[in-house]
Amino acid sequence: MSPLVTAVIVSHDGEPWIPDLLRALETQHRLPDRLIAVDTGSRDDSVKLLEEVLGPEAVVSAPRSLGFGAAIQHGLGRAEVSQPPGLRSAGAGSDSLTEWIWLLHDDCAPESAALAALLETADERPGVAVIGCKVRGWPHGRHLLSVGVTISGTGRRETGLENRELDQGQHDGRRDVLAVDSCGMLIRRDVWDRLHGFDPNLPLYRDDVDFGWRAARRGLRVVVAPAAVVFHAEAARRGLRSVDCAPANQGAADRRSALYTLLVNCRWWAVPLMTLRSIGGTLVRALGFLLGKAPGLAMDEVAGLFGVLARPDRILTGRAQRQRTLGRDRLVTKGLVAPWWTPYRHGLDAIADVLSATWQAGSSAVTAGTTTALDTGPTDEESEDLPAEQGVLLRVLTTPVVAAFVLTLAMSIVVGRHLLGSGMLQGGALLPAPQGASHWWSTYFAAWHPVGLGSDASAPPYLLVLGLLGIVTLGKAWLVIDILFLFSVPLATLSAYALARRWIVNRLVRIWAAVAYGLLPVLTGATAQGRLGTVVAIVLLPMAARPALKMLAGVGDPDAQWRSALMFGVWLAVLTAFVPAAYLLGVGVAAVGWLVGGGRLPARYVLLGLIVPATVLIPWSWTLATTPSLWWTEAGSTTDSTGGPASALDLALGRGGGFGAAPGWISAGVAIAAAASLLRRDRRGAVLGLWVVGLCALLLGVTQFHHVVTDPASGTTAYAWPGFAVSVVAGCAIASVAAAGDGATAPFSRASFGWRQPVAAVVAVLAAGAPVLGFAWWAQSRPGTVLHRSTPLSVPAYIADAQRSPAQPRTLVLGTDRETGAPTFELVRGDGLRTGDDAVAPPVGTYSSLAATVARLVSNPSSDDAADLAAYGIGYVVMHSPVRAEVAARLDGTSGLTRAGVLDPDSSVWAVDYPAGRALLLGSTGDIQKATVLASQNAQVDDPISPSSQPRTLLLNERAETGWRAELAGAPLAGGESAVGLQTFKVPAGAGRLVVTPDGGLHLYWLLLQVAAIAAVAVAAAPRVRHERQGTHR
Amino acid sequence: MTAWQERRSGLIAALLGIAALLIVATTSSRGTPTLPAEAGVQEVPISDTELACPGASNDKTVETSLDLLAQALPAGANQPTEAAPARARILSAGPTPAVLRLSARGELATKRLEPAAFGSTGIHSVVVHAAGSLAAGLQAWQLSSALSGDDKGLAVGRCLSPADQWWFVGTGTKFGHIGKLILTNADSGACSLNLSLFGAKGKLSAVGLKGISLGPYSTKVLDLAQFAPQQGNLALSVTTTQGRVYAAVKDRWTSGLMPTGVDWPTATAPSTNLVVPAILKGSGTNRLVVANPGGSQALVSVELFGKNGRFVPKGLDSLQLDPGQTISRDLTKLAGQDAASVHLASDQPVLGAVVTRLNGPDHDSSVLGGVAPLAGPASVPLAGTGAVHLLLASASRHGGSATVSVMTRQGTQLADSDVSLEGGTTTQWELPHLTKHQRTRAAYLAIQPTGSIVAAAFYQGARGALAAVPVQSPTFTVAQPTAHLVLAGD
Repeated sequence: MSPLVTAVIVSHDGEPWIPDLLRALETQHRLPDRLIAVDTGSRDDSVKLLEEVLGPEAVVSAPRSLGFGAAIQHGLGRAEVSQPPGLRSAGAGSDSLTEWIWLLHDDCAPESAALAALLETADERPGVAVIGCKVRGWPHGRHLLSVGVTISGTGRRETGLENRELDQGQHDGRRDVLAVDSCGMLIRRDVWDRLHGFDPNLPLYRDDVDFGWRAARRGLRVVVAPAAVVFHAEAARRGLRSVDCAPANQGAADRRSALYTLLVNCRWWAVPLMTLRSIGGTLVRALGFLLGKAPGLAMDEVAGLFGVLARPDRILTGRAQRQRTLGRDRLVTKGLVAPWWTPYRHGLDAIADVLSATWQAGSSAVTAGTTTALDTGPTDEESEDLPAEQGVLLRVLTTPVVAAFVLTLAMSIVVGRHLLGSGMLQGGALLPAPQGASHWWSTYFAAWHPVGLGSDASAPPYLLVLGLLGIVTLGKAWLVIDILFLFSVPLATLSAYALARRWIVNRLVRIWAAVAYGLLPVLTGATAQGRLGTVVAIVLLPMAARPALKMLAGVGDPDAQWRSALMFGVWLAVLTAFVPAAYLLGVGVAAVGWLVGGGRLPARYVLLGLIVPATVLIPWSWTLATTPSLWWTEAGSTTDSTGGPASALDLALGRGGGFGAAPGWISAGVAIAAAASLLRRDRRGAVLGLWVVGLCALLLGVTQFHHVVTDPASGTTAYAWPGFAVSVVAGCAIASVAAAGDGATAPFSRASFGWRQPVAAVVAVLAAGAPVLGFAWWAQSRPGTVLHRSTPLSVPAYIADAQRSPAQPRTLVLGTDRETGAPTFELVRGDGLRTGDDAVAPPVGTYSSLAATVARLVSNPSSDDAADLAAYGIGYVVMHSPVRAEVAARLDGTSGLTRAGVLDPDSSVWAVDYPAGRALLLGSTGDIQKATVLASQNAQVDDPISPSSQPRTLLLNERAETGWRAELAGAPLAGGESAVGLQTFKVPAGAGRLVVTPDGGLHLYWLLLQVAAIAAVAVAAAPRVRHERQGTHR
Repeated sequence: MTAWQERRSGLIAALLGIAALLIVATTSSRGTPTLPAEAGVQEVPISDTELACPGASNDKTVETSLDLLAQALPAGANQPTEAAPARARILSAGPTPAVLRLSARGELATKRLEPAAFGSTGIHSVVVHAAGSLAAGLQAWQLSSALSGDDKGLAVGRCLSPADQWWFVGTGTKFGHIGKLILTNADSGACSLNLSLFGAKGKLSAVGLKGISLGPYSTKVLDLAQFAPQQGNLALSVTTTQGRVYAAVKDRWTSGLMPTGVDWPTATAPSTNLVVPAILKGSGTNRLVVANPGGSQALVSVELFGKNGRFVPKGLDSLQLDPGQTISRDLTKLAGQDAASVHLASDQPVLGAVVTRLNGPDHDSSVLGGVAPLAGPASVPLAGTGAVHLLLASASRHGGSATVSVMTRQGTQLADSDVSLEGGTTTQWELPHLTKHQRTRAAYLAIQPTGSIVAAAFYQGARGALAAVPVQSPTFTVAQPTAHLVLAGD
C-alpha cells in the first residue's frame, strides 16, 4: 500500500529558486500526497509565488527568525494540509499505513524521479527511518554536494567528497550513513515525532547531522538513495540571501553548533576528552587562521568555543533530553562517525594548499573549511605538454620536461656511478654528512658548538635549510647531500623549466633553456668540487627569479606584488644563506634598476624583498654585516684549493673553473646568441634587463676572481669562488636567448628574406649546440677524484667510541701538507667535522698554543708536550698515511705517549698516558697526571665530586671566551682562564654535584627574534584564508 | 621621447657603465693567496735531550766511566730558561737513581760506574736525559777500559739520541773478530726493527733479520755471527718499523783465544763524500772498509789528505763496489808515516771506515767511520787515559783552522793552540806541554773550528790500548716547522 508523503517546503527570501522547485515538484513521477510551505517572513515575492501554485491554504507564515527545524514543526502542527489542483489527484485521503515527511528547501529542485526513488528505497528497506537524496549543485550541476554526511572529531561536517567532485556514479551504492542532508530528506513521521524533530538549539547548522545521529543512536537506520537526486543552490552558504534564524556572527554559530552537536551526542565518558580536544583544536585552528591572515575566522573559532563552554546547562539539558528520548545507546553509530584522523588529514591538506598557493605567489587566497585543492590531473599549462591519445605512462614520459628530467637523471646516475656505494660523499669543499639531519638542527640552535676547541659562533642559516630537507628524507642527512650532488643537473633543469614555463610560450625554447641551464659548466664543476653553496644556489636561482619577475611584472595587483616581493625575499634569504654574495648581487641589481627604471620600478616591493633576508637571517645576518670577509665565502669550504677560473673570460662563458669544470667553449654559443638576442626589437626591453643583471653578476664574479679570502677557521687563503655569480651570468644569457627566441619565427616569416634569416639560423644552431655539447662533455666526464665517497673516519672506530664516552677525550690527527710538506694537525672530537661544522669552527688564532705544541711534538718533543696535550683534553694522537717515520719515531720517544694500536698499515696511534678528557679536576698542585676526569653529557659537565682537603681547579678544555657557568652543589663557581685560553673554575674543597654549562648569552633571544621574523614573513607571504561555512546549505 | 625610449636609454647607459667597471676590474692586478704553512721553519733551542750510551755489563775486569758535558753556547744563541740538571741513569723499566748529574753548562761531570750498577746479567745501557737549560748542546761519552778479560782494551763511545736508523761499517765476524750489535729501547713504547747486513758478496739474507722487537726500557745484544758468520768485513743498518732505538756495535778482536782489543765502531751514514780522519802518525796498520748499501754499483774514488795535501794512494785510486758489497783495502803502506785522512768520493752513497790497529801482538784496534765536518764548537773528553791525539783535517779546498783549548772540569781554559790547515791536509794535534798541576786538572778539549774541519780523537792507553771517537759539534737548536691547523684532513 502506498505510503502517505507530506512534503514540507521552508521558504525564506527564496524567490529566485521557488519557480524551479515548484516546477520540479510538478514533474515528480510520484507526487507528494500533501504539501505545505512554511514561509519564514520572506521580504520578496516568495509567498506570492507559493500561494499562486499551492494555494493560500497551503502556505503558512512564520516569524522571520524561526529556524529550519522549528519552521517544519510549525508547518506540520499549525497549518491545514493544502493540495493544489495539480496535486490533488495523487491519492489524497488514501489509507496510508506509513506517513513520511519530505523536507524541501526553497532553493532546491528534486529530479522528477526523486520522491519515487526515495519511496522505493523505503519499500526495499522496511526498517529505514530516514532516507536522503544525492545532493548536486544548482541548477543541474554534475558536481556532488553530499551523498550522506557524518561528523568528525572536531565537529566538522564530513561529506567524504573531494571539492567539486563530479558525479560519475561512484557513490551510488546504497549504504547506511550517520545522517543525510536535510535538503530532500525523507523522514518517517513517527520517527520525527518520537525524536521531536530537529533540535531547536541547532537552528541553522548541524541540525541534520544531529538528527541523523540521534536516529542512529536510537537504532534507526539512515540511508541514502542515490537514485534520488536533488539540485541545491546553497543560497545561504553562498551569501545569496540573509540568514535571520541564527546570530549575526555565523562563524561563531557554526562552531558553537559543531561543538554542541559533539558534546550532546558523544558518550558520557568522552565528554571531558571531547571538551579538551575541542579547546585544543580550537586554539590550533585559531592559530591557523591567524597565520592565514583571517583574524575574524580565528575570533569565530574562539567565540564558538566560549559560546558552548559558557552554557554547560544547554549541554546537560541536551544530553538529558537525548537520554530520555533515545534510551540506552545502542552502539549503532560505530563506523558511521568519521575516523579520528580525519581532522588531521584536513589539516595537512590545508597546509599543502597554503604552501601551494604560497609557491604560486599569485594566488590570492585558499579556501579553508572545505575539502580543498584535490583537483587531480594536469593543470592547463601542464596539459598542453601532454601528447594526446597515448597511455598515461607514455604520455608522461614523452612530455618534453619529463623526458628531459628523466634523461638528465639517468645520465646523473651513469656519470656519477663512481660516487655510488657505501660511505659518504666528501672531498673538495664538502665535508661528510653528519649521522643524521638532527645534527644540523642542533648545530643551528645551539649556542655553543663542540668543534675543535669549542665555538660560540652563529651557525649559518643554510644548516636550517639542510635540516628542513632532512625532514623530507626522514632524517637521513647523507641522502640530502647525495640528492643535491648526484642529481644537481636534473634538479637545476627542473627548476629552470618551472621558471621558463611561466614566461616562455614555445615549448622547445623552454626545454632548451632548462637543459642549457642544467648543464651549465659551472654546475658540473661545482658538483665535482663538492661546492655545496654553488650547487644549491644554482638549483634555487630560478625559484628566486620566479617571484622576482612576478613582482616586477605584477602591475595592477598589489596583493600579488606584495606577496611576490615577500617570496622573492624568502628565496633571496635562502640563496644568501648558501652564498652570501647573492645578497650583494640583489642589492646591486636593485640599485642599477632604480637608477635605470626610476619610478617605474616598484621600489617599495624591491626594498621589501631586500629587507626580508636581513630580517629572517638574524642573527647570522648581523655576523655577516660585521664580518665582511664572510661575503666572499659560501656553504662549504671556500678556500679549498681545487682551483678556480683561469681568467675573466671564463666567467663570461659561465665557467667557474677548477677541477671537473666543463670547458668554456661549450657555452660560447649561448654567449654569442645572447649578444644576438639584443637584435630582436620587440623583446629588447626584457633582454636589456637581463643583460644588466648578467653584467652586474659578471662584475661581482670578476671582483671575487680578484679577491683573496682568508678562511677564519683554518687561516688558509684562496681566491673567492665566483660560482654563483657565474651561474647568474650564464642564466641571464640563457634567459636572454630564450626571451628573444620565443616566438621568433613569426617576425622572420613575415619579413622578406634577407640577411636576418641566415644569421638567425646560425645563432639558433649555436645556441642549440650548447646543451648538446654540454651533455656530451658531461657524459664523458669522470668525477670522483676530488668529490668521492668514503667512510668518514678521521680516527679509528675505537677512538671514535672513546670520544663519545662521558670523558669526551679528543684526538690530535697529525698530517703533512701536500704542497709545502709542513706538519698539519686536526683536533677531532665526537664524530669529527661534518657538513656545516666548518662554518662554526673557532678562529684559527685560538689554536696558536696547540700549534706550538704540535710543532714541538713533530720536531723535538719533550716530556711536557704530552702533558700539554692532556691539558687540551687530547687522549690520542693519530698519524695517517703517509706516516713520516722520523715523526713517528719522535712520538715513540715522547714520554707520556704510548703506541696504542695500528689503524692501518700506514697509520699509527699513540695514547696519551695522562688523564685526558673534556673536564679535568686538578688538585691544588695542578699536576695533570693526578687529575680526575669528569663526565660530560653533550655540552654539559655533570658529575659528582668528592671532598678534598684543599681547593681545586676545574680545567674545562673549552675556550673561555665562549662563556661558561659552573656550580658546585648549586653554588656558582668563580671562573678563570688558563694560560692558553681554556676555561677554568676555582672549585672549593667541598663535595657535591659539579655542573658546568655553556652560557648562551643572547643567543636564545636572537633565535626567538628570528623565529618571530620568519613567522611574520610566513604569515605575510601566505595567501589569505577564505572560509566557507558548512552545515547549512539553505 | 617615449617612456620606452627613455628606459632603453637608461638600460644602455647602465650596460655601458657596468661594462666600464668590468674592464677596470678585469685589468686590475690579482692578489696571491698564501698558505699559513709558508711561514716556514724556525730554529728553536732544544729543550729536551735524551742520549743513550753503549752500556756495560757487571764484568769486574772492565772499568766504565761516563762523561757529561753541556757545550758552551755559541755567541748569540738562546737557551731554555728553565734550569734543571742533566741526569744519567742505568736503563731500567722502573725508577732508578741518577748515577751522574750535570748542573752547569761548560762543566764536565765524570763518574766511574761500578760494575754492580749494571745488574746481574747482560748489558745494560746508560741513558742521559736533560730537560730545560742544559738540553741544548748536551754531550756524553762512555769509556770502557780493561787490561784483561774478554773486553780487554779501550773503547770510547759517544752517546747519541735514539733514532729510527743507524749505519755501521768496519765490524766483522771472521775468526778473531767478534761483532755484536747492542740495541737499546729507552722509550716507554715497544720498538720493532729490521737489520740489513752487507758482506763481501753483497747484501746478506738470513733468518731473523726482520721484525726484531724490543720491549720498553730494554736492551738486546745480537751476535752478528748468527746472521752472517765468517764475514771479514761487514756493514749493517738498523731501521725501525716502530719506535726508535739506540744502536751500538761492540767489536772485539782476539789473537787465537786471547782478547786483544775492543771498540765501538762509530755510527755513520751513507754519503757520496766521506772523510775519515783515522790514520795516526807513526807505526800501526790501517785498513779501509767501504760498503755500498745501495742497489746500484758504486764507483768510489779514494784519496788521502796527508800532511802536505791530498794525494791518491798508488793502486787505490778507485774502487768499484757491487750493490750491497763491502770490501776492504790495506792502507798501511800507502799512507806513509804521517797522519792522514781518507777521503771517499762516490757516485752512490757509500759507507766508509778505517780500522786502525797499533803494532804489537796484543795491541788494541779502533774503528772510525766517516766524520761530518764540525758545524760549530765541539768538545771531546780527555778521559784520563794517557795519550790523546786529535786528528784534524780540512775537507774543503780552501782549508780552515781550529782553536783547540784544554779545559778544566769546571770549564776553565788551561791552554789553547791554533791549528791552521791547508785544504786537503791532515794534522795530528797533541796536547801542549802542561804543568803537572795543569795536567791533573785538564779534563776536556774544546775545539772552535773555522772553515770545514773534520776531527777525531784517538786515545791510547796502557798495553797498547786504542780507541777512537769522532769529534762532532753538539746541536743547540732544532728546526721546528710551523704546524698549521686543517679543518678536516682527508
